[in-house]
Amino acid sequence: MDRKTEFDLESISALLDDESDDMSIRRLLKSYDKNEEISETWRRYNLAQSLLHGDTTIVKSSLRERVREQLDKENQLRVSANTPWREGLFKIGLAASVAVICVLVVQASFKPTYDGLILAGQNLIEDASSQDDSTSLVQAYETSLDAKAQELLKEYISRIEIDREDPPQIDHIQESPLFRFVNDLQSRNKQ
Amino acid sequence: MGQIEVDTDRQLVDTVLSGNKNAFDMLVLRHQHKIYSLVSRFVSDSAEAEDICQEAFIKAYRSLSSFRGDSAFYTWLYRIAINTAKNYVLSRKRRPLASDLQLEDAEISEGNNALKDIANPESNLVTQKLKKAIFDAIEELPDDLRMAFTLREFSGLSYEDITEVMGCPVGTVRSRIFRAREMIDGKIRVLL
Repeated sequence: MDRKTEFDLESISALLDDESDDMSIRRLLKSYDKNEEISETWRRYNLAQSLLHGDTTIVKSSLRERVREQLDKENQLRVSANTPWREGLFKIGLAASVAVICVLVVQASFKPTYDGLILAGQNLIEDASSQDDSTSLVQAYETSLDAKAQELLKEYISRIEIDREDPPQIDHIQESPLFRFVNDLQSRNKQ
Repeated sequence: MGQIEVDTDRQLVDTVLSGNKNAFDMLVLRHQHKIYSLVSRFVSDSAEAEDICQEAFIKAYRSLSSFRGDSAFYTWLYRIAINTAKNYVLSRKRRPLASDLQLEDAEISEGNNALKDIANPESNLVTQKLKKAIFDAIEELPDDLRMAFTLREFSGLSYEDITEVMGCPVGTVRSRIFRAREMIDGKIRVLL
């Protein structure tokens, strides 16, 4: 008996005693189809153990083959039922549904917010422009901010680490209504 | 035998659920004789018993994802086999041959060989021969191998416990038990 087979059979013995680990099981299963001795030894070891511990009726070895055949047949039926065009159609339908839902949600959630933001921003700008001090807009923002929240936000931002090789994508942020609103404010402020 | 948390059956079930069918084959080989013995108490015909066993294992495979591990895997499989056998008997409206054994009695009787003796005298002879060969082989084992093997098989001690009893490392215990099994296997292989 070569060393690898002996090692495998010793692992089978340990497996029988619930003294094996996942790695051993994986290794045994890897060789399961190629090395018939593994399954045969497992079968005989279990038979001997069953006979040692009680009245056992020996079943024909064909039972195992019959179970395997039936499981293979069922798996084949399941695979052939899922033809490629069905799968493709299902995926397209699913993608379309998800896209429609996303669009509706975004429109519903951002439109009033965006419109509200623009209105609020415009009010602030009008208020600020009516005052003499050019920093009044900044002051208007600052007076309404929580100092503690600002501190926490600064601390959070300072802890962020960006992977230069794989920086976060920001295209979707640049397209967001809030980002556009801030840009609008800045550009109006510069003017 | 073995704790529910880290036992072979549970490991094999997890492996089946991750897509490895050979792991289920190992479960079948592990439990087929016990399940067959159980089912034989409900039907006397060996071919019918095999059909029921096959169906029970297929049902177990299909519902494997519902096995939560609250009980031992064999207990769960045992229930499936009993239900499958009962349904079979009720659908065929049969009674066991030469016996007024009721379904409930068949389920709870332990070591009831009446049916098997009548239906399969030949297979019983083979079983008895194998048992004798195994016990004879155990008697012929070298002392250290026999001790390790009997502590494991009959006292149910873990490898760790056996190291304390025998005063040797766990690897030695594992090797001794394996070599004992190999020697026993060599004796019964010729009879199978």
